[in-house]
Amino acid sequence: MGVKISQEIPFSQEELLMLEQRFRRLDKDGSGMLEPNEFFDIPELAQNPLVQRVISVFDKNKDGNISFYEFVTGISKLSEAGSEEDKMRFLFSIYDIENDGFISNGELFKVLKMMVGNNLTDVQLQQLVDRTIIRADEDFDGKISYEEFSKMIRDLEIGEKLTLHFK
Amino acid sequence: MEPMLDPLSDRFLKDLPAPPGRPISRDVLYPAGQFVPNWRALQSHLHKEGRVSKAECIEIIAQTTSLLMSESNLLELMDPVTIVGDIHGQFYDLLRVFELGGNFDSTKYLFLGDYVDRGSFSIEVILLLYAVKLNYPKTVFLLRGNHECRQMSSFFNFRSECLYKYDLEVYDLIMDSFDSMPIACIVNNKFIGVHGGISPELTSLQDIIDLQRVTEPPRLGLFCDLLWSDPVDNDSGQSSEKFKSNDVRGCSYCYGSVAVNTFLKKNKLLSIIRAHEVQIDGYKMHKWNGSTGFPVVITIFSAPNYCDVYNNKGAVVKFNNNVLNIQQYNYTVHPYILPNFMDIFSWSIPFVIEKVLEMLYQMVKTNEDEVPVSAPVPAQVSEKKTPIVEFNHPKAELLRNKVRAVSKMMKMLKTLREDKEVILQLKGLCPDNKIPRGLLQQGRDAIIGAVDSFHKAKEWDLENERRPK
Repeated sequence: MGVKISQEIPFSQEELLMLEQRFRRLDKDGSGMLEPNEFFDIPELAQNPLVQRVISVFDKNKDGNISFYEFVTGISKLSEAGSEEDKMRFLFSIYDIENDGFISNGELFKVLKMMVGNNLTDVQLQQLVDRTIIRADEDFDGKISYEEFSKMIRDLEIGEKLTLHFK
Repeated sequence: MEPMLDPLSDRFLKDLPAPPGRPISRDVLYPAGQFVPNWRALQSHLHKEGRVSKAECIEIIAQTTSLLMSESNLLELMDPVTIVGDIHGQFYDLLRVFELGGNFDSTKYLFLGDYVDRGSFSIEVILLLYAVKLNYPKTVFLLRGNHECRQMSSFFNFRSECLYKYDLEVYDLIMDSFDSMPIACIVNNKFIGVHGGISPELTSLQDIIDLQRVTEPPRLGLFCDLLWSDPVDNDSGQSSEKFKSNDVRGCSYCYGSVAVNTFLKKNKLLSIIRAHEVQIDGYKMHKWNGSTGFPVVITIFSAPNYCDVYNNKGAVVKFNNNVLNIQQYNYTVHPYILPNFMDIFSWSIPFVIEKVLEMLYQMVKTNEDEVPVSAPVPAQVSEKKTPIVEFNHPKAELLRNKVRAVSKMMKMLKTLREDKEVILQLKGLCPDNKIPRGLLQQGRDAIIGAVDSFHKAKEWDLENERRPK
């Protein structure tokens, strides 16, 4: 397999090779693509409720799998080379299941439910979701845009915290 | 007011009514020609977790402050009247009080203070009470409690609730409105209603009338005592001194039966009706003149399941035709709030980050003994075909170290989160974040599981009854 290095990918040759090696080890059936079950089979990720969400965000062409290009691009955005906006947009995409540029009431509920499980009742969770949307929703359209989202979380230092120190 | 929009129709719990999408409009709150707010519309709106814009909020506060300023320090009332004790931000329980206490057209109301702090809906309590007061200026009365001041409301959570829902300007205006609240009330010429109790400096009722009340309550003296004092804690009112220093509060006094009887006799009163102390049954009759005698002190407490942990009943006094009745009630479920009104993104994002990093780590990690080697099939890593550089060991080691650092950080995150969850659960127990130190010192295992005993809660919460230094 080959990948054309382009301006956006900030990795050196050695790093790319290392990533390619890793990609091959994850690609158990040697198909050249990472399928969801190749992640679900990793024992250390068995308790991770967001595996499918991360796969979906990496999967830019929405074919259900992660190509090497998508693999490298995704990782680069979350590395030290990625900007704060890259990381905020990544987080936004985790919540934006339909990938339509808005986080709706139902999407927010679903993603939170994945993480919260039975620690809250559905009523409690719905109340938190409703209240958060009302709080963030500046144009009263009942859903959260990227701008409204980034305003709400700007104090959380996402740039620093969501960084894979790879380089 | 319309519920919030659901543009994709994907809101999960369709049967749960959604909160109003917009703040209550001016036309609904002040219909054409009306000078006072429509309290029924406001109650319905607030009940559904609707918001009130700053402009309308300020108007309600300002109107009420004017009205309160026109009242005397010492009020007078005849029955029928419902007397209400501490509410402490428990808006949904206040609605129950309105249901049980009787409607405002036929019943008077006397509130004994402590409207704010500890609960999470103090703003809603204030807005609704003020709106009701504006509609019933001569039959609904609001006395001042020890929490209606800058010192207490900034130490506890009312100030932060104000800053979250509005801003400092609104907080300051509410503090001014508290300054204007009257202090005590004579009911049926027989009872005195006041938040805390009596004082060594209280000889006659004229002493109350002579007070300069429009101020932050002082640290000592008559004004302080009226809001802070407690009856002594025994069944006979026995006390080695008329007024003992009050060690629980760190200020003011405890009054015994001699102090009370002296005061009642001098002023031709039958009993003191006060609040200020949580009661497991919502009320307490201090029968210091024997079990057949009329209680000389009655404590009433109207916030059931206080702080979400005490498991107590709430109660109100219903006074009619000179007969005193107690009406008890259990707590009403309220909407779920995260500590400090945290939004769901701020709450969940640290966890999301942890889980994403965990997955990334799995994607890029190498085995300990694996040395990355040059690929047998060359990847075209550039436009020009340059020879693939072989990894030398130091570089590989560097990469391994970096990846190890990531995993260490993730382990730390995992532990932090576990601790945070315990703390969060604790704070969930105490909505105002004043976690009783006793609970914290119990250790993690002892804390897991709800606090189900009133007395345990009271013991652990004791330090929050003290006046802050």
